[in-house]
Amino acid sequence: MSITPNQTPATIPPMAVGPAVPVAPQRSARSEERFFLLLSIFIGIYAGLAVVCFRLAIEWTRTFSLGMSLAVNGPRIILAPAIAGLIVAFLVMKVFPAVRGSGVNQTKSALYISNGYIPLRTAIGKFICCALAIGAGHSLGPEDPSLQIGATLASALGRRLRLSREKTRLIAPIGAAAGLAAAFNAPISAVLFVIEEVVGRWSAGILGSIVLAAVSSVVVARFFLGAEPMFRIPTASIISTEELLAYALLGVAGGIAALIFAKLIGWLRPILKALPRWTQYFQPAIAGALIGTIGYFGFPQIMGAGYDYMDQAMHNQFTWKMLLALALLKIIATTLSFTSGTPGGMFAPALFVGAMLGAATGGVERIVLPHLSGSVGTYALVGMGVLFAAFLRAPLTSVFMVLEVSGNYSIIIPVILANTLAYLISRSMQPTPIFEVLTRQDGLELPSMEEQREADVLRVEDAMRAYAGPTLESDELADIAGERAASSPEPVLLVRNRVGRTWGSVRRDMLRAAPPHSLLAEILPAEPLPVLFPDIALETAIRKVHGHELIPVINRADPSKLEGVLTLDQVLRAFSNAQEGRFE
Amino acid sequence: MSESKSIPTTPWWRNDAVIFAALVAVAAIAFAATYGITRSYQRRQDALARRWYQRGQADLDTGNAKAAVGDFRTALLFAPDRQEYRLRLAQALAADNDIPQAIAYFLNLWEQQPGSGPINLELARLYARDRQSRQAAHYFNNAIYGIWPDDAVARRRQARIEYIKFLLSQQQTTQAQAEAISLAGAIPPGDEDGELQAADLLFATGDFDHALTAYDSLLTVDPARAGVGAAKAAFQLGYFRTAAERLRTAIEHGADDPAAKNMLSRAETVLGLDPSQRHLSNAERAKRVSTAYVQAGTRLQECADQKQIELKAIPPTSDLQLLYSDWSRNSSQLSQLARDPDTRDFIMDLAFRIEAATTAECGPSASANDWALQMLSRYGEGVER
Repeated sequence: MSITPNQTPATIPPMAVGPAVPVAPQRSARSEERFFLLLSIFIGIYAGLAVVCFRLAIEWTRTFSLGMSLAVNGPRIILAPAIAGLIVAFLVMKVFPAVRGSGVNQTKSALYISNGYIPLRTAIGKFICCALAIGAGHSLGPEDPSLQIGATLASALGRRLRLSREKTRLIAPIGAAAGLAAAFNAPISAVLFVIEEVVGRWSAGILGSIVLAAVSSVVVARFFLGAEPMFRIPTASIISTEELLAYALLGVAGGIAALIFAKLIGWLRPILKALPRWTQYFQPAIAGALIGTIGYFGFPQIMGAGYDYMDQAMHNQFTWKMLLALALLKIIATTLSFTSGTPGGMFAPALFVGAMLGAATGGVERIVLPHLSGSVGTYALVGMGVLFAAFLRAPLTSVFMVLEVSGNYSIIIPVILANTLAYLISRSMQPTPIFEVLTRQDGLELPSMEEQREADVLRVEDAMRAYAGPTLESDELADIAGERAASSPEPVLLVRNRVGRTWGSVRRDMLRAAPPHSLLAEILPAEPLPVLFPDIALETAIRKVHGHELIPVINRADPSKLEGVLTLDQVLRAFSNAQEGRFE
Repeated sequence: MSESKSIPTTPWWRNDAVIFAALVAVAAIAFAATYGITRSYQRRQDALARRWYQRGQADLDTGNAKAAVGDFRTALLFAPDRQEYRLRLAQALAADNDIPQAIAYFLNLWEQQPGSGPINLELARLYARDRQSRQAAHYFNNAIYGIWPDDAVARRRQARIEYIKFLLSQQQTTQAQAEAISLAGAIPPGDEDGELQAADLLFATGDFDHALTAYDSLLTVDPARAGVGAAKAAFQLGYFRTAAERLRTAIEHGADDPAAKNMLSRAETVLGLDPSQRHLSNAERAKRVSTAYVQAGTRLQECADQKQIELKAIPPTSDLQLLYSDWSRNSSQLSQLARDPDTRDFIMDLAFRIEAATTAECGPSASANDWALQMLSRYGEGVER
């Protein structure tokens, strides 16, 4: 979807046109590293505090709008989300245009597009709008907004403290990890998710900061909200290996459900965005009314984040038919809420759908194969991971999330099996992950972490060629070497230093011009040639090739053995061939 | 001077120490503010939770378990960490006969307090109701050895009693006996009610020896109840002399159990027919053997009539006919009963064989004498204990 001057995606302007990030570092690189690590702890504390207040705001809104009873009755159940939708739409359209959309994508665009800049106003807007929407019953989750609130606070702090450009860029993902960790009460999953989906690379510096921020935010959140896990995890166990078949089925079902979910959002969102602008004032209200109507007709469980009902599903409190209905209706309700432009996240809905689907699978298995099936709670737990892997396309995080939330490593085999199946099905049927679909609909081209992971890596062995000249020795006489090289097609010859196990190069005409009886070692440059190994990535190799006519590629086991040579021209040709889809 | 002016200096407020001091100050202020907000929020949540909890309690007390489930769930919405609310919700689910959900809730509570006596006992009861005996036994054992918040000894005993009753309902008598012996051994001295309860359970599990000892030890405390109990145990063991004595004592002390009186009458019949009692004259012994002989003959005839068997058929073919042949052939021996102990034994043995055969052929007899002869046959001299 292209961006026209009249229809600018709300996610872009405040970031793209944000003030220039200060680039004058105030500290040396080393002292800034230390400062950054300490700063990460404060980011975690601030994000943790913000998330605590955000959670309270959601709860308060829920009690205020839907009443004090768990069972919401009467017209209130329809009116509350509809009215909240109207207020939220007004706020989004008039006051906080940047709060629309996915917090994950906004954090990524801060990292890759706007030098880490996210306006503080975004956090305020996310806080207010999401608390209103989720509290009043819109089918969205608080994790994604928490992630963005954390990222925004971190970004504001980074700007205020005038960090270097590199650190200012990275600070938003650190805040994101802190926000997500506090929301999930699961630091490992938050760290993995941010590394897997936002930053996309592992390095000690980033990892240290992200871990510190995530841990400190979780500590703060637990101090205020209690150390209780998000769910009361039932005894999770597997009865027999045959039961893995049921988990495989759950993986397939989860993959298909995730596919339907993603396709539905991907299809409806551009349609609703393309409607006249004035309709956007009413879309969240209509979505809210429709969700309330679903609740009114006997399915209030799909309203809000739905954690209480995930908990109930884990404890076998619904029939399998009800569970299936809830999974299906949650997909519809979340699609309505999200595509109408109501701010909020999709983590909780994905977990909800997964939990219901998993518990339904467990329930059916109990009827069909009662001697095989274990706890329904185990199925619900695995189901949550399945949707996380297939819908959010974070396979590694999905496994660790289930293990971290359950604290039970005995279910690792069904988790890995089901998640992998679901992930493979989802990926093969919809190559573009949902976050990328959303960014592309907004006219942005953010790097896809999944595509990066999947991309073929070009290596030195893909570009190097055989060396056609003689390998000269550094203790050889230059005139004899010249005779040996006379008929060589190579204009530049490689010289091996047996003693130092280093390599050098010499042009053929230099050999001819060398003083008589001089050794090759005397005419070689003092600096030895850099060497490469066949398995090194070309992106790394290109830095070494630059400035040299050719570089020896040697054997890792025997550094004196030449495997080939690499030139800058060959590197560029290899990249060009890869771009055109052919390898030599 | 001019050189010193050219060196760039960092303003004091950009110093790292100052920045961190500011960060700490902001964190402290934000922390305090959040603390205030959460406290106020928590107070409100607690008040709401209490209100729903009380409503749930009232519903549970009036037997409206379904409404109580909803109330406790709402209470937990406002106070998700309150264990007692969860416990009540689980109990309400159990009261609402929603066994699987109640088990799920109790299991969740159990995971947090695996050693809790009350939770283990509730789980045991639920599994027992759900006829999952292996699980029920597991949680009963946990409850017996678990941690109880108050009056642990009595609560453990109560748990063991429930376990014994459960084992009995599952026909697991041997294990029930072992538990009943443990129960009796764990009762502190002076706890008569407990000892009486243990004696009752020993009797119920079929451990009549231990039951008799236990009841006997309580005869001075509660001669009526303990006397009847001891008599029943003695009766089961075939100790009819003891049974009769205990019953007489119990009746003297006010036991007006009709079954006790019936038992006494039967015990006296057995003792009255026993020719091997000490201190009896030979004439009396002969009289008792003669009575047994006549009773056996009557029983034989009744049974033959019932089965339409001609006892006098020649040659005798059926068991009853052969026994009749023996019985009639020995009528001449009756005159020697007073003199010959072997004859007495022989006649008694014939009477016992007739009683056994007629019971096998025609079922138990309604006559107290027939039953007494069978008891004499089964317990022999034991009846005198």
